[in-house]
Amino acid sequence: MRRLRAIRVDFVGSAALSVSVSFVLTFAVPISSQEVSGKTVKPDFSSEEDANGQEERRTDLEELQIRLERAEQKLVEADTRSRQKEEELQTQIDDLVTKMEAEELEELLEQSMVEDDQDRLLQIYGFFDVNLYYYQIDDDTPANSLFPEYLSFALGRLHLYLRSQMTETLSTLAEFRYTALPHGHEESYNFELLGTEYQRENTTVLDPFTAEEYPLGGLGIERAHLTYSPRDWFNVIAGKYLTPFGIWNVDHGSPVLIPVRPPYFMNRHLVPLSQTGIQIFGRFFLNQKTFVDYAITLSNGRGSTETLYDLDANKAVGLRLRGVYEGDDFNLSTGGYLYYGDTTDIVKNITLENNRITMVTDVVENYTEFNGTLDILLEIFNLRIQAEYLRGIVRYDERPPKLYPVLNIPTINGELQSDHIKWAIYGLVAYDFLFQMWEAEMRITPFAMYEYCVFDDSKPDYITAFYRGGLNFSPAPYLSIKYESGLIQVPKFDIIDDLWLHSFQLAVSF
Amino acid sequence: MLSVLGMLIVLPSSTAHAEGPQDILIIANNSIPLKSISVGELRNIFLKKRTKWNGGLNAVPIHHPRSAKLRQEFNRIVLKMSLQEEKKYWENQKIKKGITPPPAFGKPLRAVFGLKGSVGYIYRSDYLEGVSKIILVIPSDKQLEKK
Repeated sequence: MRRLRAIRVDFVGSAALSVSVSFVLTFAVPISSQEVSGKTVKPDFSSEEDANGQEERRTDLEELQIRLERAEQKLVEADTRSRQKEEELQTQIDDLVTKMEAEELEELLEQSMVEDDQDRLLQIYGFFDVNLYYYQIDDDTPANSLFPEYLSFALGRLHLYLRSQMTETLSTLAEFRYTALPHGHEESYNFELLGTEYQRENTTVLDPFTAEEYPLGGLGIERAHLTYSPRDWFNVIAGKYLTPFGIWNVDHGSPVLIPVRPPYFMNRHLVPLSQTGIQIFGRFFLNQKTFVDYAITLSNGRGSTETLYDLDANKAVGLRLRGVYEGDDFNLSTGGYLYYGDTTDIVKNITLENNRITMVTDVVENYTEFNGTLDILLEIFNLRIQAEYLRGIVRYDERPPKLYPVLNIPTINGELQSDHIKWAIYGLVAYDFLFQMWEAEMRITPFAMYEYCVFDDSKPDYITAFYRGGLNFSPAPYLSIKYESGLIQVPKFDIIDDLWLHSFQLAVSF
Repeated sequence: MLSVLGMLIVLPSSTAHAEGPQDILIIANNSIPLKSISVGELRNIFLKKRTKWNGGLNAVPIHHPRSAKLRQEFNRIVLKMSLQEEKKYWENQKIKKGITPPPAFGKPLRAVFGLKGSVGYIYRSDYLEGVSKIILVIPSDKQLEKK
């Protein structure tokens, strides 16, 4: 007698990852007694029928064993297939992930090129401005000829930027300024007293291939540096960088600036506009809306070779601190910069003594300057108020001849440069009127500005005041059309009367 | 793994969202050491006033294209400036400091999934569990009005 006690097949999961089968078979061969339906049955082998039955059971048993072996074989095969299937699935997943990542990277790269700017690529952009200007001067003004007499067009600044983010922490930025200068630069004037002649730079050359006459221009490096940025609060710049002072020098590009003309202290570089060396800078957040910026500068300082080498052993140092609060409709930023450095100029003389050539260096100019600047920018809704104040002390160890600025000729009395104080201040008020036109958001910004500059308090001739007002129209974010008119006063300089300057400017970023 | 893969294969685009106002989810790559972020911090990240996460990982803000409606909403709510104003802001930053605007992607969820340190924004209906983590929920305008 036999009984199939249990057959159980478990499928774990839809992928049939696990199959188990258990057979529990109980056979009553040969047994003395077997419990069947609660009764005890004694086997009886005395009759032939029983013998036949026994044979039949043996046959059944063998058949069952064969079936069991087949079932086990099938189970092994099913298990093997299951494993193979699992491995195939895993391979497919891996392939898909790899493919997806590749597609994703490709897509990211493509999108980065066709959509907005992407950090990791070399980026080239820039700005330029085209100007139309006119100096309105009384004919009686003695130095009338100092300024262009007629309404003139001018290609002003053309700056080109190259930027690259090589790694997460390393980036480079180079800004080049292309200029038509020195072509057209007036080197000197006919001046019988000093015996100088009028000389205007002419860089025109003849192309031997085309026989074309071509006026060469110039290329200036505004800045070029490597920046290492491991943290927001700690960054290092190495190279030539813009001096981190004030507002104007940081803004510095015509599409960013509101007026057409820079303040006089920028033209005369009361503080060096750029330096070559190292700068450490960073930002500390006090809260979400308030942060403090700092910068420490170490450089060659000023000098006629400042970008290439230092003409004295003293390095210039500077410290910038700036606090910023940025609210929803109220922004306030205020800061200062201190600069301390030596400036030296030399001439080299070759002499022949005892049939031996020697080279001697003479220091012809050396001074130490200590400058401080303050700046404030206040923005309330669309109103912008900004101001900067600069003050510097200059102490000479080696005094050169005193020169007239702009003219760059020695003073008539042959004076030497004296220690002096220089200072300047300007204030700018502007208001943005935003409006929609032709489905575009446009902006009109009227502004007024006043500046006063004492370039050298020992020579009050250089004092300059400039009152101006104007209007900016920005039909698109990358375009500014500006107009300004201003009254320039050089109150202590006898040869220049008050004059008006009218300027239009088209400033474009690209 | 299979489920995440399946979700990514059928990632919807930013435009495929249900009609009507929706919450905006600020999503972040799993590498970012943050569980939450404020609107102010987010603004600083997207305007690149802050460029690093705590620990020094680069913060990589991911925008939608300017044509996307969600981009306009995000600009208004978080950046508090119009698209034109933002464009002007970046034109100025490029000239002043050489700082360029964040990249924009048609499928920001995929970008945030794939780019270390990245943070982006999507409508709630576009969110798929497991692809990135949510660090801020900006309620829809209607919910804001109710509050």
